[in-house]
Amino acid sequence: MKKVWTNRSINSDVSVARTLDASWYLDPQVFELEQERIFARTWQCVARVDELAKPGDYLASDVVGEPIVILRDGTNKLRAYYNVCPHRAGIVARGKGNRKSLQCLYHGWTFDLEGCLLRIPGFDGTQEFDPTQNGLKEVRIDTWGSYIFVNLDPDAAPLAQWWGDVANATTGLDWSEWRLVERAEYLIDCNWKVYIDNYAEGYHVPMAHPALNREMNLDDYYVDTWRFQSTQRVNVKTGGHVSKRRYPNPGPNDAIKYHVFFPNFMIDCYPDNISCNIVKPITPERTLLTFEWYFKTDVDQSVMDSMVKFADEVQYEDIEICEYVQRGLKSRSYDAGRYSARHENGVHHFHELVVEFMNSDEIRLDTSTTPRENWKDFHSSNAAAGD
Amino acid sequence: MTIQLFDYTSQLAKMAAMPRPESADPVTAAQVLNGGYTLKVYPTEPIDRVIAGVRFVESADDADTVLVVHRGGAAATAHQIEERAGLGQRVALLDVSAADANAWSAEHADPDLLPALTNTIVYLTTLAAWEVDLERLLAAVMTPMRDGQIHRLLMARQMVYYWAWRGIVIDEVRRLFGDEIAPEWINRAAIQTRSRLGAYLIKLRGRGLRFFMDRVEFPNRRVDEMRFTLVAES
Repeated sequence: MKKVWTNRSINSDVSVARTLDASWYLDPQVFELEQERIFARTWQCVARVDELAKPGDYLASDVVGEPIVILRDGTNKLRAYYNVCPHRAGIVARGKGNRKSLQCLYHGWTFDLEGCLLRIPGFDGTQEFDPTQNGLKEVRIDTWGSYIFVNLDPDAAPLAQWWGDVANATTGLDWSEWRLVERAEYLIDCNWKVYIDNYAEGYHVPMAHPALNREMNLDDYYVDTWRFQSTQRVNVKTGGHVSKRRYPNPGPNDAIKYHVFFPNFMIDCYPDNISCNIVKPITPERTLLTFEWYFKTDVDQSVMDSMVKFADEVQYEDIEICEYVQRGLKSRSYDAGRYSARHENGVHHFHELVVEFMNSDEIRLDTSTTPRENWKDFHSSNAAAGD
Repeated sequence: MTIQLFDYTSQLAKMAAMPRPESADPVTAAQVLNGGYTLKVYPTEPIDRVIAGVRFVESADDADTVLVVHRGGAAATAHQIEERAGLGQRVALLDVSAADANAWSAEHADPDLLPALTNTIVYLTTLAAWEVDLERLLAAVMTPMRDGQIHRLLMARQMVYYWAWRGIVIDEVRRLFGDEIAPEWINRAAIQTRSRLGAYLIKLRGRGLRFFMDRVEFPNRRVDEMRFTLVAES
């Protein structure tokens, strides 16, 4: 049964709000609009900084189907351009590598790494042509942590003003301590928002993640939100069967945190590793996930192998659930749901942002590092109510 | 260990043995032989006709065949065909220069087009078809497209199996489930395999191999006996 999108708002009160309805996860019209309204005007992760380590390093990528090339120029500055030759729309870079210039694969127009036109074969006789107006068109580029981001909106504020500064204040990550050890991609049969909905709450952990559930207590799990970020936090639980625990002897400050940076960049923080997740919509019902795992430089290989295996288990538990949800969204029995006010404010926050971006031309920034909700207080005040 | 080979030659033998459909309509005849494959065509001029078995797309990147419509200007048409062939596109040429505007069938071709084409580097046999009637042209393109689709399916399968599965993913599956998968984990192992191999297939999509993973199975619950089916992107 086809579910046609009807635009609507999300009630700001999570305790009475209804979720996004099913059409938002199914209708191709929504998907197309999201490409323009969300992904074309937010900061999109395209590479790691170490992939463009030296001048001349380049990498061809794409954002919402727009071909992009990112590179480090001769002055060591990161730059991004539309990978489209101004002559007749050929491509100037393919794959990744190191070059002193970019050359269109179609007719050989050549550009320096600052995007300026260097050579134009066979253009004698062409009139009213100004080479200085025919360079590569730039795309906004920025970095955060170990990652490079681009934004197709030429007027977008720097990443720091979106969520970068807040992320620095709230994650406490020192990227120099961490090294990349593994990378994997997964193509899953669900809408991109289904996956992020799942990621943004720990409510499902006791049912869907038995091994992870041994490490935490849902009563201690809370979610804070900022303008474009939500963070879930839970202390690693003490006790339980040591042999079945991933973290059998946690320290008093050992915690697990999951950060979501709108729209599609996430970081899992465990006591001994972090992983960065990038969610890329492919079709309304297919999504590409990229996971990159980082460990501290002095960690043993056996510990890394064990953690990646643990993370794989959690990941496939999530994929299975998400694919079931995608099927359930098509059911004629389901239109929209409700949020657990205690546990799903992160999902609510994400849905509010999706609707805001779909409906608003102007997006207000807010760099406050004070979380909007204080779920520890909420938890304390509702504990007696049998929450 | 069993290696599943795609039986390419038997498919061709089946096609050759098919009875020819009794129909004067070339499109109907081609559709019978085509076995349900939808031909994706990018026309250089908008076509507002609905033709069963054909989908007109808006980008040459999404098309099986580019349909160059010639309504005059033989040198320009020949140059366009030369450029597109140089980009690796499969080109079909519809000469309706002798037809009325917005008509899709002509009584004869443009006499200037042949010398214009031979003045380029285009090998005429590389054209998918050359016709003065749209439906006959599509019928001509459609029939051998199934061969091409079988070839693309074979390439995609071999790349996924020998490059992604045997090279990378099989070790990840073994890491979680061992060599023999417990019955309660078969579904999870299939999800893992499907999602990981699907991510590699995505990389082939931009190179003309447009398939998704459909099913993954583990006969005898053995990781090394994994088999899978692909479905063409529609």
